[in-house]
Amino acid sequence: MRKGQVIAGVILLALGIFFCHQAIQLNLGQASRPGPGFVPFGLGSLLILLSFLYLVPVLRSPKREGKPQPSDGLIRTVLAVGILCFFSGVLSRLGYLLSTLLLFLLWLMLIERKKWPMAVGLASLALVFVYFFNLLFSIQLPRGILRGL
Amino acid sequence: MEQLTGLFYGFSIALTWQNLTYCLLGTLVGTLVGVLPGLGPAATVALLLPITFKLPPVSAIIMLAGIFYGAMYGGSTTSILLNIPGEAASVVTCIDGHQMALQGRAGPALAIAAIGSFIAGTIGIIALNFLAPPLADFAVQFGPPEYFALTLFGLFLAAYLASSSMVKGLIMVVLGLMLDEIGIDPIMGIPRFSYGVLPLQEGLDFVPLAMGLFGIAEILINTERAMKTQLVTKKIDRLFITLGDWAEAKWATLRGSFLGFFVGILPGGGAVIASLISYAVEKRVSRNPEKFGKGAIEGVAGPEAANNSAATGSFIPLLTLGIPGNATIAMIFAALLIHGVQPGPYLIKENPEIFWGVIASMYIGNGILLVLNLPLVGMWVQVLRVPYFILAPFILLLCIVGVYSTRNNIFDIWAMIFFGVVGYFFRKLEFEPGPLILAFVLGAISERAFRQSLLMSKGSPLIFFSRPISCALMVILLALVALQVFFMVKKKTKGLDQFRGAG
Repeated sequence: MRKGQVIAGVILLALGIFFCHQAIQLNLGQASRPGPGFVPFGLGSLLILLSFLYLVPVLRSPKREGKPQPSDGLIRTVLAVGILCFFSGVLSRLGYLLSTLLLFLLWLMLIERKKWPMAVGLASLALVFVYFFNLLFSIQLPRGILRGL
Repeated sequence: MEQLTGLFYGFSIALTWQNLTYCLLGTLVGTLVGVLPGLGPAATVALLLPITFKLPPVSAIIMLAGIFYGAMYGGSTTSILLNIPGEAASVVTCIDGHQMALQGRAGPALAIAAIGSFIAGTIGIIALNFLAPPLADFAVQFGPPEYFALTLFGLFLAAYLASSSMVKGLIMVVLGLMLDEIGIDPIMGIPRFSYGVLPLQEGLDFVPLAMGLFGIAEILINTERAMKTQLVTKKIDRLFITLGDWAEAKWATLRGSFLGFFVGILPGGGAVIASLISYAVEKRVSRNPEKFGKGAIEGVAGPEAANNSAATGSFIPLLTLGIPGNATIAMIFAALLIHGVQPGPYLIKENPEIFWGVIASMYIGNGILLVLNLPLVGMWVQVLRVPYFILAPFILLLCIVGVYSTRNNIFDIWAMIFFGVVGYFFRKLEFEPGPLILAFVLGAISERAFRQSLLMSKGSPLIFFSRPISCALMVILLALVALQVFFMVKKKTKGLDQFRGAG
């Protein structure tokens, strides 16, 4: 937790500095005529101050933790993000029907560790759901290789 | 009389079959998300936002509002029966509600939660009905300094009340305001922070941000925990309260109703805080405070009344000032903007059908909810039996379809996944996403008002102290900041003294 808090604090600090730098490039203007970088510069400065206020007590707190082991839960989360990225990557090419099928199969078999008959059953249900949802609300989801259908 | 005429007009809109259907749908979905742990009203409103694009604005807002106040009703069922809060505003209901259930009094606990919610909801709607129009008239006088002071005050309160740590809350507010900076500068028309990425030039879209931070992050957290819903095996009998129960609970219900309404009006306030305060008040005023935590009916009645009237009260700043006070209301604010409706003091004159239609629908929705939550409680218990591994991929699918349909752009799905991962880390590090969403929505109003005020005063920040309303808000804000700094320093000195003493 402490390590995570330190990393978060450093990222916030870096973001604040980056925002200030970019705001200066945008032109700060003057108080009587604030430019497009005026407010972003103020926000960046505020984030730098807040990151310090966040980081200092974290750094002062005693180190208690040992080396964390990657848990099963964390692996599931990484897999979930991977499946989502895969879905977004293939959506345009494969179309929404095949992508939905793959999303459900991968999710249920890899993350939930369900057997294939149940995964196929639920994925088929999802296909029916997304097809009628698409029709009902006239959503233009990409059809991909199934464009002719 | 204007209020009564308006209300009759509102009923003529809310009672059309189409709006009645959307009201029923909203309250039904609201109760469902309230019952299901792991999906709050903010995430659901974000999820269903794209579906409402094809609806007339009044029907869309009637449905989304129904989800919000419906979730307040449904949350108590899960808290009482499973000791798991269905949504955040029902956390305190677990304490005494579940104890009552363990003592075989699940029926009266569910009944007082539903009846208390109905009474509080009705009191809240009547207050909204009669207070909103004069407040809107008053708000017409507001200029940029007042709007800036008000948004700043709201954001500070959101950071102060919604988070366990003030610094974390403020970080979330600043991040939300920063994200809002992406896109075209509102005064000079220059692109900022878009780096040539076309979808970013129009500004970051609200829907992927909200769905990522609430919907996807929630699923990632639950996936990590391998969340399982427990089967409910207990049979619930006697779904009514006795006169004795009512005698014990009536004052708690009334106190909760009024307290919740006023906490709901506060920018940054809302149902969660209202229910927590109500529980603390009930425990303090009770003649038998030792009963609390062991199945006190007042401990269910007060907070349940408070969270319902707070949900209604939080519509006041939205409808009269155009300023959302919490994350769910911020989603409804976004829905109004997407439909081309500007919430604020002119809403009542320019879009009376929305203003009065939504208020009238709340009276109807409140009645529907009483039926949905008392005689049909058995149906919601069955819903709790649906395993989470089935729900999770369906919620994911809804998020993806919803985000894509907003702008027909794959970029938004990537943005949603990105914010989902960011939201996951926020949860792990205990950063509350509510203030970020609120800041993102209020950012544009706030920056425009701030820069216009400085242009008006030729760069003098004293303009915020030279007008009575903005001055009063700024003074309260500065006093709150000073108080917070004082407590922080005092806490630190106390710690140092203890350290020295130990040494």
